[in-house]
Amino acid sequence: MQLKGEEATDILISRILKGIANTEEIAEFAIWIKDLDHERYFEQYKEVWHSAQEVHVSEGKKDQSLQSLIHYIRYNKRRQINRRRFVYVLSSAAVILSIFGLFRFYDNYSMWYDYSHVSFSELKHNTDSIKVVLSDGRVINPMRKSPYYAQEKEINMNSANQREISYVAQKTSRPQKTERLKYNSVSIPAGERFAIVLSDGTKVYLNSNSYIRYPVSFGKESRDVTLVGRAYFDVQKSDVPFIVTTSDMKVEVLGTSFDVESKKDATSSSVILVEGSVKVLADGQSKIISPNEMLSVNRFHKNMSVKNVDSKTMTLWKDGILVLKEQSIDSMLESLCSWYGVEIINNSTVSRREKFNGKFDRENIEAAMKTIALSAKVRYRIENGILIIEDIKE
Amino acid sequence: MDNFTNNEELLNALKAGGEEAFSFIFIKYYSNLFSYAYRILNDNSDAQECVQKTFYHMWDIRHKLEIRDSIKSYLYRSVYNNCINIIRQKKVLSKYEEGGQTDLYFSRIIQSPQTEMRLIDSETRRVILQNVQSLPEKCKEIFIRCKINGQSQAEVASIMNISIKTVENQMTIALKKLKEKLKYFILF
Repeated sequence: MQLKGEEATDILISRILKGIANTEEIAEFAIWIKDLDHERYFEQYKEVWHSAQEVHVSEGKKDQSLQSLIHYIRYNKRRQINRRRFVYVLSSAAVILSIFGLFRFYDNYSMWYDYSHVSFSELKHNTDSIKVVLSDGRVINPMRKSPYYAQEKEINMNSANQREISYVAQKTSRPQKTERLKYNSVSIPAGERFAIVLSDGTKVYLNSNSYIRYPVSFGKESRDVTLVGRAYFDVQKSDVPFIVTTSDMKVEVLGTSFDVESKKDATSSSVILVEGSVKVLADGQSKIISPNEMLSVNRFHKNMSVKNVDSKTMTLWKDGILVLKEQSIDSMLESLCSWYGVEIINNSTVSRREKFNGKFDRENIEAAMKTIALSAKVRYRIENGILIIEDIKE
Repeated sequence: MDNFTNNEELLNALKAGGEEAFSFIFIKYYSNLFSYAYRILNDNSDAQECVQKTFYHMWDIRHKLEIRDSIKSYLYRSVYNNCINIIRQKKVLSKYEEGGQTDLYFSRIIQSPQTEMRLIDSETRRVILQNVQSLPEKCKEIFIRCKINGQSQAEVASIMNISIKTVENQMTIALKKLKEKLKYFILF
């Protein structure tokens, strides 16, 4: 490495570690670190970077923080609140019902805001399209009608439902052992949904922000698919095992219905079983779960845990109803961003300890926001196409 | 406060929501956790809030507190998770998301709790810290600015109102000292 180049590299690395690198620098770094020697250099630099900083917190600040903790404990011991708020948005009838319900609860608050000036048509929706990548590398958008697609040999486009494609088993040309399988993949952006009928008849429902890769026609030994995000599988019974691989687990079944969630940046992944039985392998352990059980794999603790859930309700998203249970306001809003394909910024001070439950219809974000605002005692506005949630100021 | 000699005893006291137990672990781990959060977030008040929230949350969930390995590693993991939530809001992460580099951030850049716990008690860290701290004031400042804060030598020269030559010389002194102590490092 040249002396000048070395300085530039060190500046880049420290800007990355300091969190001040811009998008171009990040892209440059991503390429630079691909080299093994560079990677080693970076690892050592990182060690020095973290070691060389003795970050002190003053005794005064530390004591102040300790006092706050003690206050927090004493205060909460006194009022063991465990308020749970319910948000139900299913149809307008249900909305009206729950609004009346809420009014009864909170009729000492007058917070029926006039939102008539908030126009949801200004809300910016995600504009990425669903992408199907064919085995020859071509990318097609199933939502766009094209006579050209009708001639595709690999896929059957469903003319009645553009959000669904299917594959047929190619009986004539059974893939030989030596023959390599051909793969297609589909990515679903935020706010979208999609379904695929695979060559064995298995139906896969894909939620927003998901990606799946699968062979056009399955091999003889196993039926393998790769998933990032969330999908519901209705697996066709067969002696050939069906295996879903995610970044942190493998789910193996013969024929059954189940839901797999393995998001890119989440702290855990999960499998919900509706019927039949599935085997989940993660981190060298394996576990078999029964219907109405949800298995979670924590990415940091590396442990598996199983709890009972109502699997029919938890998987309603495939029919266009998102069900959220016991979520903090931030995780509820994060799910809604992905579900509706919009951006929501939470500037409110609603405590993370407040738990929300709700059902959200795919089509009606306005009703959803009104009910949330009422139930969480916040208000919303739309600015530059982004929904902003904030506290109600008296 | 050495009345919690036994780990099990401490854990039970935490589950019961005992003020002394929480104060005990707070005093024991606060400084290190703060330093860890600070180096991920690069912001004083964010780091403070992050660690504070960690203890609040631990109290909130005390009844179902399940600690498999140790309270220490539970706390580091918890601080790490809170840090991720904060950098998400702070838009640091969105710069990585834009370029599809989120994996890179999580696998390479962010200091994982495991790495941090290994580093904090390591001989390497002790040697590096000791040598950096024992540098003459000016030399130390130059080293920190260049190697930690990501400023160029020219920038540092102009901020500190000294010549680039001086910056270069001081850096050579600092690096030479570290090189002697850390022979297996390819860095210096």
